[in-house]
Amino acid sequence: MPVYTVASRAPLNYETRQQAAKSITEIHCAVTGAPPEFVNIVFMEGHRIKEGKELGVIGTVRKGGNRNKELTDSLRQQIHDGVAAATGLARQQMATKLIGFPASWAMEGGEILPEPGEEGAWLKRSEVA
Amino acid sequence: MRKALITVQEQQVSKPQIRKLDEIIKRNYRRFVGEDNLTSLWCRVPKGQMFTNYDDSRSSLVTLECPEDFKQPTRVAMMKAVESEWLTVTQQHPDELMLAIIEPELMTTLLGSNQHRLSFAGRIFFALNMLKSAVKAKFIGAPISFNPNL
Repeated sequence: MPVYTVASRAPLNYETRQQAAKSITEIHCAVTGAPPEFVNIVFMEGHRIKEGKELGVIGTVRKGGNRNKELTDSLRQQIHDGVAAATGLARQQMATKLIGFPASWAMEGGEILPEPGEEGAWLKRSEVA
Repeated sequence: MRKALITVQEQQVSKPQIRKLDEIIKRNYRRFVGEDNLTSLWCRVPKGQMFTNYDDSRSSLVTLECPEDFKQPTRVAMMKAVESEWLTVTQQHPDELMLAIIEPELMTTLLGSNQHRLSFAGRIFFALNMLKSAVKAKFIGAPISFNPNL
């Protein structure tokens, strides 16, 4: 968590997928303060996106903690712009949506995920374990 | 009918392993949740199409649907039980497994969000792909697994 799925109409080559994944990971971590270890990105091709767009991104991200509406809106916008830049698509050829997810409902590394903003202590505990 | 959406790396988790893992999930589901039917959907991601922490991913993502107001101690116990058995089968590191047990409204949102980003034709093609996977699974008596590419 987070999990971003990137569905495109046309296939993206490996380098483009890698660049888009790098962009999503960097932006997600810079905006939220989450560590990159949490960031997963899945690419799918051959999907006809609505309104004739080329690509659709859906991000499932932890909600609550230090994440207010402004931060979530900023994250969505920056992910949108970052993927557009990485793939060479115009911004209007894409759609991006985020879905909030309670951290306590998920486990990674054998531990319940921390509330947003409390990752430091969680990572330290995981390292000790 | 409740659902499970499970994402694994195609080259990392074999079909026989998927059968074992599917049994583990359903057995623990019966133990911790109840006798409700659980339909599992296995997304097998081809190599180079998933990334975690900047690199090609070795992670599996398991999302299970539970009833509303599912008790947190039961959720945690179930995730730990599934995790322990899962890692024994796959030999993955614990960091390579994300488990989530979520309530019906969020599961509906998650599954619906993919439909909502598709055009009408896109939804039909996606539904046909899933139907084909379901028929094949029924025919060979295996869990429903599909390639995310259409």
